[in-house]
Amino acid sequence: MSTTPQQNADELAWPAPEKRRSIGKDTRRIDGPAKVTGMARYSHDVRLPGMVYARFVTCALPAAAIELDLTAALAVPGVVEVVRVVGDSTLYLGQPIAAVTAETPEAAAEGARAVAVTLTELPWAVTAEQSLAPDAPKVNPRGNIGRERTQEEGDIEAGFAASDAIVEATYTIPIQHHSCLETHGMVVDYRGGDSAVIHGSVQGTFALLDGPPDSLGLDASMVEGDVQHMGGGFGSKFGIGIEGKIACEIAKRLGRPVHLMMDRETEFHASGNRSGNSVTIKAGASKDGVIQALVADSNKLGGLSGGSYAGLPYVYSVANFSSTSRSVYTNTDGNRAFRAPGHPQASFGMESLIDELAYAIGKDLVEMRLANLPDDEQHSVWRRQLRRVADEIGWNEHPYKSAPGPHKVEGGREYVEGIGFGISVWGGGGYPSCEVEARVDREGSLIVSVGVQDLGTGSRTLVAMVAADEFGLEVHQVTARIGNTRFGNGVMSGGSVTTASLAPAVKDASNKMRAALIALVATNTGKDASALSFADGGVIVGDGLRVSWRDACALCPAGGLTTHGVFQKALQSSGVHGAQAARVRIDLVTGEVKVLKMVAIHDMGIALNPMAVRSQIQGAMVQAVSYALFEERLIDADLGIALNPNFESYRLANVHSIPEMTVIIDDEDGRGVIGIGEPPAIPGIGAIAGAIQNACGVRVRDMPLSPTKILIGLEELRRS
Amino acid sequence: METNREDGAANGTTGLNKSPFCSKLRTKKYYFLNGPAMVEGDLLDASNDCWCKETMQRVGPDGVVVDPEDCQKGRGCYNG
Repeated sequence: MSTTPQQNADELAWPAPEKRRSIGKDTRRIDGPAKVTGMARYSHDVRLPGMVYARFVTCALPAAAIELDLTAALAVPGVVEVVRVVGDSTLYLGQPIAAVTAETPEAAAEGARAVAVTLTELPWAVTAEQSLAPDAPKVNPRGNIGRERTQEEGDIEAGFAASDAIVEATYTIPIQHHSCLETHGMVVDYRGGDSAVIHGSVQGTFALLDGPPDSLGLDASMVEGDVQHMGGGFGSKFGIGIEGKIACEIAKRLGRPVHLMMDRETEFHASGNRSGNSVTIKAGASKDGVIQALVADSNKLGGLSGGSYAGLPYVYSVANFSSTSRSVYTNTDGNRAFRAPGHPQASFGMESLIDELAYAIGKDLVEMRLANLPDDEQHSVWRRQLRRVADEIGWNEHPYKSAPGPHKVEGGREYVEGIGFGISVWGGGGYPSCEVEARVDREGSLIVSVGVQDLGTGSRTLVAMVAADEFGLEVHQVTARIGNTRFGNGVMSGGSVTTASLAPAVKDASNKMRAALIALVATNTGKDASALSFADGGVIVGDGLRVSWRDACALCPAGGLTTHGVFQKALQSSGVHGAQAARVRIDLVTGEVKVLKMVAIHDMGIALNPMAVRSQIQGAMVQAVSYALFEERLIDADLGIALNPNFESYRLANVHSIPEMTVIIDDEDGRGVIGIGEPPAIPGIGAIAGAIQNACGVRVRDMPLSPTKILIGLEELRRS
Repeated sequence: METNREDGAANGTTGLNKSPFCSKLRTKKYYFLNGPAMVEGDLLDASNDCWCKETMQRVGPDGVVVDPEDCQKGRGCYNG
């Protein structure tokens, strides 16, 4: 019989640093060995008896009337069925129009190639210019412009009058793909009958119960969702997507397990992206560096979605400003959340502007930022963080603080170096949504279960660490069971909320189990429970007693002990600040940029697993290098066709692009747990762009910051 | 919560849910809500992304873009 003791738990609080046993210590992923040996089973890896494989056929134009001839596809050996999955016409480039199901992946691919598609081109728009043209086709019946918002404060005219220098510029940022290593998709294990198991590459285990039961005609209680491992989401894997819906419908029709994972081209055009952005800014600053006025006008390019944008002035305090943004709809797939949605776009424009104003008035780039960062107590952390990264990157010794370095070098030297900076802000607090079960049996097993998924960021390890810390056990002594809807509810991973939602609930369940075990020992020994505590190794000590973990567990009733934990607000907090610096080297002959070093500092309350935190921040810096220098979705504006829908032509940073990286965990922070997934992805691109201008004087205002653009800029500087 | 299961209570038409939005409208924030979405801000996060549970795309069953401003009573495919 199991019991659920809920009383006598200690007051919940994270232990002081010197009393932390597992938390606060570098801890390797408990699923690391499984991942590096290929034993970890991702949704893509699931193979089931009788399984069929499905593949989409997509529309090669942004909008078209569709006619399909399925005869040839159905004749391909192994093809089981081909179904149309669209109405009469399409609305976005890459929209799935048919699904081919076959006995093998190869037959499905061949069947997809054999579908005869007749497209009658309909009017479309894939660029902002096309969408905003007077004769543009209506992408959205309400109009191609939406969600126009303006925020204003102060007296802009007076601000410009008080300015000693004014900068006007347009900064543009392209559409970026999420580039998850595991593409979107699901495996639906349905073989007829009244139950099903869904293996999904999603950011929320319980999202697998939102849609599939309807498609399968089953009650949600008969559907099990499973996300044991997933290969990246970055915000793009909320919901099951059309791929999940179609997979379920095929399974229902055929009564067989279905494997439908997108191929890379479909992934690039039908599973979201980071929206592009164009912002035109006019701003003025006085000689002391204070921005006196700012007027910004931004177009958000989110395809069929609204586009992401955090707005200006971003982070910095500007007394007089007007900031307008609007969505411009195009016939491309909608943007989705992407690691700090809207913030990198805003940060790129703001940091670029700060640099240009600083040079215009001859101000040190760091001093310029300090002159405009909020100076209230809550935000003073930014000043400390900026000075720290400036020290670490070598700003004090750097020769070009208030004017860019040389755009030509005499004497045969062909390389120049520069430094740039970026600042970020994020939330990262928790939500009351995790329900955790801790269970101990007579043999000494400690199992902690919660349905939450692990995106690859270490949530499974975190569950084990928090529980182990409570009992003084080793992390490997705790079995963490996650990623299944049969366990208690788990928060979706978005907004960097997972750790701050999950850890307090695990702590709560563990704390109750701790009290229950101590009570059990006290009852069986006649000792005072208040005198007993857990020492290292799970040993209960006190009042002359020393009871091993196994001996204590042996006192459990036959069914073991079970406790339940829920979100505890006091154990988490919110609000992440950060600063990053980049040092780049530019080849003045080729225009090639090499990011030599990046430094990042972020605060996140208690860093439960510093190794995982550093990993998150390092990943964000790599992503910033990739975004700043290489990534750009290209669509031919005249033909409306995709130009780089694969990893051969859509360039990502590779191992040669990765700089030396220094991560500083800001430990001057007594707050509770806060998520760190998204904030470090914000400031890097602005820092790299700034470093390029600092090195050679060329301000590339249009990402990616390619060698061609730099060479053009260098030539313009030489001519001027 | 105990409810009076008459007047269509069994099929969910008690009128308790006062959300103006289509029940098929989905957003990232939808999965963090503690109750029905009452205003647009309850649904849209900084990504400004939404989709339809029926199609699982940014296009609704009527072939038109999904948006909290549109996915309300009066749209042909609205589901209360």
